Amino acid sequence: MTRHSFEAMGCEIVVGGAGAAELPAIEELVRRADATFSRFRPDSELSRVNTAAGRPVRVSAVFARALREALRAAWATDGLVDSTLGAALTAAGYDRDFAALRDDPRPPGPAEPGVWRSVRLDGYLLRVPAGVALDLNGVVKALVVDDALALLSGPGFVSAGGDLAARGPLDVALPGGGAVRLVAGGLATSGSARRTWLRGGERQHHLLDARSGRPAVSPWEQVTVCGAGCLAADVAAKAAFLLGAEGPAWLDARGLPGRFVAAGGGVLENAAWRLSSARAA
Amino acid sequence: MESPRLAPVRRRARLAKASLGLGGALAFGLLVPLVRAQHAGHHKQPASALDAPLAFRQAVSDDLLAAGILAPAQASPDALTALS
Repeated sequence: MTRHSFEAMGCEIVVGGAGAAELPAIEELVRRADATFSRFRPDSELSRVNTAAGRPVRVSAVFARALREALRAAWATDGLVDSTLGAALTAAGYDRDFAALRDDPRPPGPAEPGVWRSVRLDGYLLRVPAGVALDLNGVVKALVVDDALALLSGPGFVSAGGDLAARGPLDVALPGGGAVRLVAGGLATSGSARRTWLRGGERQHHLLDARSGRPAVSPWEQVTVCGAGCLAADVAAKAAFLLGAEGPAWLDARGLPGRFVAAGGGVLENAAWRLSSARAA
Repeated sequence: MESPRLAPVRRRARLAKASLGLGGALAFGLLVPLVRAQHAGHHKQPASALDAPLAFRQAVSDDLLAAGILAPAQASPDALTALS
């Protein structure tokens, strides 16, 4: 299988199985998403929305679709995965591309909880309350993976920073060792083992507890989930990480296979993961 | 002394007053529940939260959070899932 990789959206994008005509289309899709949804580019559509200070803003169809998916994710996870934590991320110190982020001795700024229910999207007309900043990075990355996979005409896969979706069986290496065959759907891994920084001497990471707006405390370092697509896998992996010890049961209640790597390195597979592997074998 | 012709008149008047009073009370008793049942300001069913029904929420959740399919690895990995 042919493989191509390039950097975009702050991570490595890997495409397997793309033809000569498909790869440029995928690259264009990813770069356009980056230009639209970057928190750090002042000319992005997301920045225009975040600086609207409570005024209604007309957004593009691409933006509206991503926001609808983000609100759907918040709804499906009872607000665990909340895309209104952009200001809280900035308060924690994540205010520029991660590659440019440096430890900062100043204490974190005041954090605000998530308020996804206060976002109003009526067609393409969006109103975000003043002081609230959207962060759609996670949802957009997963959506781009699913959309890019749809551009492939044959078997292959697309991965964005380790979140991937595949058409046709694909053997995938897992965090903490081991591998699994992805027969259908997507795999995503969320956690706090990477993308960490110090602010005021405290370790910060990008997975925030929507109730406090502060980095979540979880017994897991990495959670991998298999979903029908990359978006499902990504949303579920984040929710399972944020739920902590209740994560495996939460995934089981929804029939979602999940694999948890604890801070000490121990690996736990939930019942759905074990069942899914055994059933398809 | 009262005229004997007035006695039946007074009796009919008392009867008419009593009938009107009783009829009014009956009509009031009947109409109040009807008004309560019809008036928009009164709850006809127990109040419920202003949120989508649980079944609808469940359908949205199931639609978004559907599972993929896994099997044991059969070859060396072609890809990696990890934190970026």
